[in-house]
Amino acid sequence: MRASPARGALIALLTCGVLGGTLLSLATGGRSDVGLLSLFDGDLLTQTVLWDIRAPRTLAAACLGANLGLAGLILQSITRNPLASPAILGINQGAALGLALAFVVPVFGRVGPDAMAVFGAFGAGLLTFAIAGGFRGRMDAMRLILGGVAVGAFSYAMVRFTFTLEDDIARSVVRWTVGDITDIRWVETTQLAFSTLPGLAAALALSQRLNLISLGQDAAQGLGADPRVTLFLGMMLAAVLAGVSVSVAGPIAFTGLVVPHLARFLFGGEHTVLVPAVAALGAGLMLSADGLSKILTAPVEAPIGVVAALIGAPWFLWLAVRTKDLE
Amino acid sequence: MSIRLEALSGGYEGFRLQNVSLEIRQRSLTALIGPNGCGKSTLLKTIAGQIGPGDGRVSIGGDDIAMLRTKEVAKRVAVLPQHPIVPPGITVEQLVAYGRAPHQNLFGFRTAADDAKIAEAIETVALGELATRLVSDLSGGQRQRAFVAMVIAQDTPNVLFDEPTSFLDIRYQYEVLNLIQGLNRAGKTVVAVLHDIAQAARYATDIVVMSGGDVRHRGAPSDTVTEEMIRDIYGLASRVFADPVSGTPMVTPLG
Amino acid sequence: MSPVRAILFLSGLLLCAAMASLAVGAVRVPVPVILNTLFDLDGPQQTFIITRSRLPRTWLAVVTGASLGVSGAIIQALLRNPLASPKIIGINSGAALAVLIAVLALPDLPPGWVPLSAVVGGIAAAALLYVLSELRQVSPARLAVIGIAVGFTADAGVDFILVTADSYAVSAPLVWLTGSLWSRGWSHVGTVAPILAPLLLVGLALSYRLDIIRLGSAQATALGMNVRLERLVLLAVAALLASVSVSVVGVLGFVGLMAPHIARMLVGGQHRGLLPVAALVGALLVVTADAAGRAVAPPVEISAGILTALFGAPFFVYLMLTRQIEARS
Repeated sequence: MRASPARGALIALLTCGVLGGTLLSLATGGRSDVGLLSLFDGDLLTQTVLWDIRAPRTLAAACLGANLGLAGLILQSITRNPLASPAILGINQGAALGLALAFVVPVFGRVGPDAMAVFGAFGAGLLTFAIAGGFRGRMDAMRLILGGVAVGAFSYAMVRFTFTLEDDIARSVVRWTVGDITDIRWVETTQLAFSTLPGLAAALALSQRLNLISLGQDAAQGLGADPRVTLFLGMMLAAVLAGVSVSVAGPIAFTGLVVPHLARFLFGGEHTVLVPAVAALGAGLMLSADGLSKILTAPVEAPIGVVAALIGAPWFLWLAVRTKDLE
Repeated sequence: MSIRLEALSGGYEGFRLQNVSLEIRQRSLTALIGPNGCGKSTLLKTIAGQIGPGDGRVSIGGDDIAMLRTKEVAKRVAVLPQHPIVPPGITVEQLVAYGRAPHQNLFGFRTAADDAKIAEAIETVALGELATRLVSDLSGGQRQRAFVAMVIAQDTPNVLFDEPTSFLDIRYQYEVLNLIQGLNRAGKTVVAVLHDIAQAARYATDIVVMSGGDVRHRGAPSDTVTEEMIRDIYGLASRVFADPVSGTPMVTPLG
Repeated sequence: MSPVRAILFLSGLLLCAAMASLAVGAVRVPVPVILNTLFDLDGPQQTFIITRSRLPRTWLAVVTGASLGVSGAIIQALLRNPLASPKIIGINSGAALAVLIAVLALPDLPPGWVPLSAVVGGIAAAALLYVLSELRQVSPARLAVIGIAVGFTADAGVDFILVTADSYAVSAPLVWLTGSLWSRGWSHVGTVAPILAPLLLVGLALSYRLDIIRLGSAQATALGMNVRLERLVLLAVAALLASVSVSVVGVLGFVGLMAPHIARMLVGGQHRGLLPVAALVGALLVVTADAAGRAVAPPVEISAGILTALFGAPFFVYLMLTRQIEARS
């Protein structure tokens, strides 16, 4: 890619966004007396607040944004459907179901919650693709969305079913259906970060294939990239990224939908550029959303998933009205 | 690197080719013609490997394409589909660069050789001034030229075109046909599905007439485009004249 | 099957299901005891469980199920989309959001006003859809996606309210939202039945108009029908039926989708027969889901809405794969 002044400015903007979001997320929280300056002169307690409570949450928000943004980008590319995203295609809900099963059914518990979340995500994605006819060469845009919604509704009903049987705690249902990172600590954050970096590398490796499949399945094959392989690899990667995110923070919807659209608007359609741009943009947005979730309704915190949905759902409505080639 | 088709019987949704065997002459410009639903697009897609060959086989340069990796096939044959999809937010230059995909590694890093091929392809279709424009902003004729440039950048000995002139204004139709002829004269083997018989007769070196999933006639334009053929295949009484400009056959219905 | 035979058959089934619904739960009540209680016969009775708890609940299931079934049948005919239903086009979520706002913003609101707030939300969602389908000539398939988007937007509002409100204030709405008849009593029946029953009658009375509307607006106009007005009236009836039901039993997903299809399989597409059968099927579905929810793992209750979604979502996929969606409006 040739560097241009405009692109330089955009990259600077992205960097500022990520940095600004990080500072906002670190500076805000339940204890308003703890600010950024505490890093330098705070006592032991405020240092603890900043380092053990806020820092892991901030890093988690950044990783979640990158993960979900990338998953959304990959799904939108391989389905060539602007409405696709992990939540709309039922992948997030599938991951939540896998996770719920891991906690409730001992046999699945032995597989491990993370692996179950990824399996759930992958299974739900495959099912949605199959319903849309993706493995017969022509993916029907409408069936993809409606099928995903149905798969998602089924998975959620199963999650609720599982939890009613086990322990009916009203609050935790929200956590499992909307997404929340309030209680996150370093253990979960580290685990999440270990998925984000390889995920980004894998997405970069896949970006040329994503470029080609954006020309259509036949054209991609003509250019030597078997579309079924792209579909499968993309689905795998999206499932891992979404699955790990859900297992740490619950199913956060709409981040995966909105971020790729913004990135495409700013950087064009080249996926070698889009992949890093989406990761940075997703991180910046989620960091800001995390900061906002702590400020907006203080002293009560709105879970980050709710803030994301409040912004993302109207966006989806707008897309549903405006997207041209839906029929 | 010749293209040989042996006993092809593939197809889809109820339509099948009727054991088509055909050898495409090297360096020919072969036009596939025939009425709607005769199987010409199916045949083209079978050569491209997009549809299975049924009980037969397609070989390019002596190798069965079913045995070759998709990438290897893409180094031997380039395809321009009938309705190429215009991805949003892609510039002409980026689109043409996709043609280099079969020659690149996993990450799609460009070499100097790639850059040269891309620039040359854009030059060939005379889109140099529009190279940084978005493909979605171009007119129909310019768009089609951009896709032809992508096919040129793929740098394959064989190129397949599926109705490359459909939905274009007449001026752009001939622009694209001249580009295709230029590729052929530069040494490539070209197979094109064409709807217009006069255009096929004027530009092609070989004509293949299909009907009902089978090849009915093949040969030079002056031998195949005849009044009998038009009556047999299309069910139309007509007179065939020599085109006053090119001398190739052209068809006028008797009414 | 002729409509009359279908109605008789389904009424019999519904009676059996209602019996089962009265019998199952944390305390099992044998059928003779139920009959004794209902008809005040000699012998052992269970007045409290049967007449105070399970009987109003079952009545409520019958009324709301019938309303959702009829609402779904009308919406499918109006949008000419076999995948449409009150839930899919966002009426349920709109109503739920409005109820939640009303309950939390005005804690002193008398219970009788709750259905009114639901109607406001449901009508708002339906109005958005009406504007899009009438003014922008949106295709039926796209309308389904737009409706889903409207639902998502309302759901986001619901989630926001739930997580930011005080815990004790939301614990009751939360159970209600998943679509449950838990702890519903005679007062609820008294509030919604007088609204739903006349609406059901209006829907049934207008049923034959739906046959004409399905011919397309050009043909219907040629047959002397004021298409715009009638579509508006019918859509309003459907939206009212669904949103008033939601106000009392929450979101029972997919009932409005499944009931009309099952009815169509039984008696065909003539709406004069289809609507009453859809009402019976809807009632049967909700009564069965409520009873099953109590019978699966007593004393825990599975919300009826969870069960209808578990069966309804696969049914939706089946419909999508087998039915043609008309591409044009």
